Amino acid sequence: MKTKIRELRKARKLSQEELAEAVGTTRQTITSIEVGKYTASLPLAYKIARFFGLTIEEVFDFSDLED
Amino acid sequence: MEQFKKKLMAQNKNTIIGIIIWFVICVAGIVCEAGDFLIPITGDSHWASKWHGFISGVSFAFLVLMIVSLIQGIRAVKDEKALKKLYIAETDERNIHITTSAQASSMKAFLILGLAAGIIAGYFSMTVSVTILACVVIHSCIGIGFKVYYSKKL
Repeated sequence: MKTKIRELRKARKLSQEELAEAVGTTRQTITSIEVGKYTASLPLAYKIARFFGLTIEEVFDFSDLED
Repeated sequence: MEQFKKKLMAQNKNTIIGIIIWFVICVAGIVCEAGDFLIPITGDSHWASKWHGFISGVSFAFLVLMIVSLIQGIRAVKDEKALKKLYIAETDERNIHITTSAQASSMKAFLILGLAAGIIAGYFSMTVSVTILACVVIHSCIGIGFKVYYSKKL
């Protein structure tokens, strides 16, 4: 699944480690989500979106599921 | 996090009790050789010595693992940063997903390889073949049991 996490993180000058700590996960999980290897669960997606002050749909791209 | 801290403190207490009990068992059973429950009824004295060594090694390794786990637990309870790190490591959803996937794959591999090994062993030794096939059957039954349990629970 495509996400805007990397762009949002870089815009705020945050490292993966800092974001991971803020949302209560590991750096490896953030890396996997950013490159699309792992799809975040609903609670984690919510935490990430809330951290950036956005909605889940604004951070995660669900267009693949609409096909 | 406070709930995790409480859980960790209770876990530390249980680990201390476990270490004491296991230490007594190790000292009495292995070092002092109390009783003869560690001497296998099959094989010669050479095998008995090897088996005793294996059991001793496994027992002390288990003891060391419990001590390491206790040290990690005590450090986490005292230090907030270490507590958060341990909490994240234990609750990280990707780690849980990896562990679950690895266990499911290993179960499938065990069933296929065990069945193949049991069939091949049947051409050489009936005891070995029946033992392997029994392990495969028991493993499958446990797997089915857990599947039924989780189907009802989730």
